[in-house]
Amino acid sequence: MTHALTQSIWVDGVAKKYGDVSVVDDVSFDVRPGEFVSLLGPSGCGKTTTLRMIAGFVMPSGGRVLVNGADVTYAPPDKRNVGFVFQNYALWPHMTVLENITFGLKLRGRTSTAIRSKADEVLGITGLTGFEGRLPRQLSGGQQQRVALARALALDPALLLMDEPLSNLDRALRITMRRELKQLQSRLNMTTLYVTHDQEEALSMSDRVVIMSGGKIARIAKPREIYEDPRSEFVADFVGNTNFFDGRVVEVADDRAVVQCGASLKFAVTREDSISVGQQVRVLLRPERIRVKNRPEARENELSACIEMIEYFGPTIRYTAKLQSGENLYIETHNTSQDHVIDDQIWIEIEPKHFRLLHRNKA
Amino acid sequence: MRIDFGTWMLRLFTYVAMAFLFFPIAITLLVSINPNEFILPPTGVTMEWFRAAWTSSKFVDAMVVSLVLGIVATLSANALALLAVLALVRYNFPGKAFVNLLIMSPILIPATIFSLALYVFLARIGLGGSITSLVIGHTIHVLPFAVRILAASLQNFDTSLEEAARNVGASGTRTLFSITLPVIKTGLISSLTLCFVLSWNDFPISVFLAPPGWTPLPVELYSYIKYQYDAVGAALASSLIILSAIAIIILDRATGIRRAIRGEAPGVKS
Amino acid sequence: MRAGVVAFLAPSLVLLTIFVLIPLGWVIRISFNENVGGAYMRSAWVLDNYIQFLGSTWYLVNTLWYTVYIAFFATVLSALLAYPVALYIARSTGFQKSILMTLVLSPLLIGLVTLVYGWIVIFRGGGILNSLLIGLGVYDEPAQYMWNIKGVVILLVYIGMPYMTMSLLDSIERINPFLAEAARNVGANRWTTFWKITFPLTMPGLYAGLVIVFTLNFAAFAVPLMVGPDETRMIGLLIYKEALINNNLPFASSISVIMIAASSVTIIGLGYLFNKMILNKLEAKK
Repeated sequence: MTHALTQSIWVDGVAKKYGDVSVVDDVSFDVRPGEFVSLLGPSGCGKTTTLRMIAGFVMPSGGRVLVNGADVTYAPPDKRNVGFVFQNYALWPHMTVLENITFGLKLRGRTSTAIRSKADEVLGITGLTGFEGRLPRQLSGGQQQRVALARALALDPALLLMDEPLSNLDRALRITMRRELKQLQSRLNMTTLYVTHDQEEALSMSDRVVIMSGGKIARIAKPREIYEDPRSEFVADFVGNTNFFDGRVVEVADDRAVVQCGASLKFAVTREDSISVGQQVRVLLRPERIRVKNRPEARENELSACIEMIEYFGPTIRYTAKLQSGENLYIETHNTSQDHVIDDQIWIEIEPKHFRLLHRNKA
Repeated sequence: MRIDFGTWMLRLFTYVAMAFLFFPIAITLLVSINPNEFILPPTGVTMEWFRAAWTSSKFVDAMVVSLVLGIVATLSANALALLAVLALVRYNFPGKAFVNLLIMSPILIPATIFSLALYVFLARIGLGGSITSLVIGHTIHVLPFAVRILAASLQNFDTSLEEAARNVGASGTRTLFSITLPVIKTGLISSLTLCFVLSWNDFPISVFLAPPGWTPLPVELYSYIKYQYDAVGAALASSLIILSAIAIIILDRATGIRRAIRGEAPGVKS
Repeated sequence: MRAGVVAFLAPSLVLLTIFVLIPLGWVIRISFNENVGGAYMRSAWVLDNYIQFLGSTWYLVNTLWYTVYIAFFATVLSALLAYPVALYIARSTGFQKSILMTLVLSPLLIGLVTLVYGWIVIFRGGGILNSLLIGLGVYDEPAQYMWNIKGVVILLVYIGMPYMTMSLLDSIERINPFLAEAARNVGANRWTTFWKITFPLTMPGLYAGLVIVFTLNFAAFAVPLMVGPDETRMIGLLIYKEALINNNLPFASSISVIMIAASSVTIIGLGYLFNKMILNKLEAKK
């Protein structure tokens, strides 16, 4: 393969308003050559609109879109050379697989030999060899998804934009396709911007994730950083489950701080630089960071709790437990042989390094 | 299973009503091939009446007029409708409700008034008594039907198909001809067929607007049966029925006859 | 984009403005002209044509009221005929449904003149219906249906049938089937379920059908022209005769204006009655 693509996207302060309603507001980010970046957010957060502005289907109300250094902000969609994979695939129902894939090549006036060899190449890449003569309605959902991808790849686009391409597939197929898509992207070193509302997809496939909320960017970071260090309540809540406790810093030592969350609940946490005594903070704790045990071992951050609800997921189990101090706590454990039942009295332990603190306004 | 009396009565009633609807059509077809004209049941089959109808220069001329008129009116109405529907289905703009009403007005206004208005106005501007007046009348008469069918098709049309074409480098016009029109092909076929058959069979507008020497077939048939009572009229009527039947089959295959007739008012996709 | 909208709509709008709106305005304008006779008229602003119609008991009672009566009668008959048919079609499925649909709608696609021809064959003095009726011993001598108001009513019912059925069918099919099942579940039998659930919910469709068919019947001129007696006093036919036979365009125009007004008043009245009697109760029950 000779896809030595070295181009990238730069979205610079882009905005979109419909009347008085701001759908995308001052969004800036970039995608580096060969990078896989996801736009992640709840529905209505502006991620799809942002993607469609890069493809030229929606004209921005402000800001700039640069592809490979060229300003394409107001270029028509047919003059951009960006591949686009639609959520519903948008395969032309009156054309065969081959016709769908080669339509763009024919528009570019390529010779029939060149068209045929390019078509064979992308059919091979996407595992569609032998399906050339089928119509889209004669294909399964997964195959349609591959045709949509092949159609975009056939034009050697500077970059690939994907709008929730896996959301119409059932769960098992979605996971298979996710892996294939990622492997293909790595192999072709294809610069990709991928819109999804599925956090698993975003975390597992991306080099970096752009989280959007209410038309604005909430966070740009690597998947691991986003999950481990969300830095905002929205991100913490949207990506994974989190326990929240409001509290006040009551003690700061060399490497420890103590946060008082309610009358009889205290956590010792790893000290962060900006912490000072008296500060109002919100404490975040991922449910899988909590260790469950049957008896106390006289350790730091050791609490007793009572199991109120059990959700059995198979590989993992989630407990909703009530602390002695009255707060509810989500706990996720691997499915080991150790079984608990409702009303079981348990002990939990949390290492100080697992807490994350958010500063909180007094209001 | 218990015999349900209510359903049974309903079925009987429906079949009787269907017989009522089909009775005049069946009788016409029967008379047109009956050697004894109106004396039923037929004792044999003859093509004599059809031959007489199809060799009468008056009828053949009328048929040519109806054919040309139907084709011209259908094509112009569909071209106008397609453009209008592309704007109406995809964009919201002030005054849209009024534009909708205006486009639908030819079928909202009773044919009597619509025809009279065109008749007096075309006479006033000096177009009365010309073939142009018939073409205009028929084009406007079928326009709302074309708009409704095409609007229904375009409302179900997934615009991402067009975006995908633009994305691989097709221009707006190229996208219309390579993607949009082929995808709404069945709606287009339905619309062309319905418009043609409505123009072909129209009586009220033609009788007001037909200039001397340009008599469409239904008007010719009307003048014939006003004075003549014979099976040649039946053969001519049967020819019209057969053409309509072909149209009905095409409509049924394309979008279904019910959707073709009802269509949809061009709103905006939610 | 805005420029595109204008460019796309302009051809249709220009055509419709010139050949629908302006002509309608022109009809209103010349309804105030003076008729000179011999297809000529004089530009004026007089009420003569309106007075000629509205000042005449003959026109008011024997044409206007008579047309309302005939149109309404035929409309109600179409509804009575169409309702059970619509109900049955709504319940049927697959091939049966599509064949019934096609049969019901085909009169719309087969020309009026063609259909009228079939009825002429049936209705004439020596026609097929009479042979049948005499054969069955219903009549001793041929009854006259043709060139007679009975023929007009039968044809109006016939032509109104597809519109009425379609309108009713739309409203029947729009009813959530679970509503009837819920009624059965709480103990209503089929009969009660129909009258208390299905029938009230089809009122909007019935009303729409009545309005469409009444409007068509009220303005009809082709049917009375072709099957009515020579002196048929229906208002649509009067317009046709005044315009094309007597060449009295001002009078034809004023009758058109009166016809639109009368038809609107009747429909508004019908709407009021419907609202008061049925639709209001539906609202209240919600």
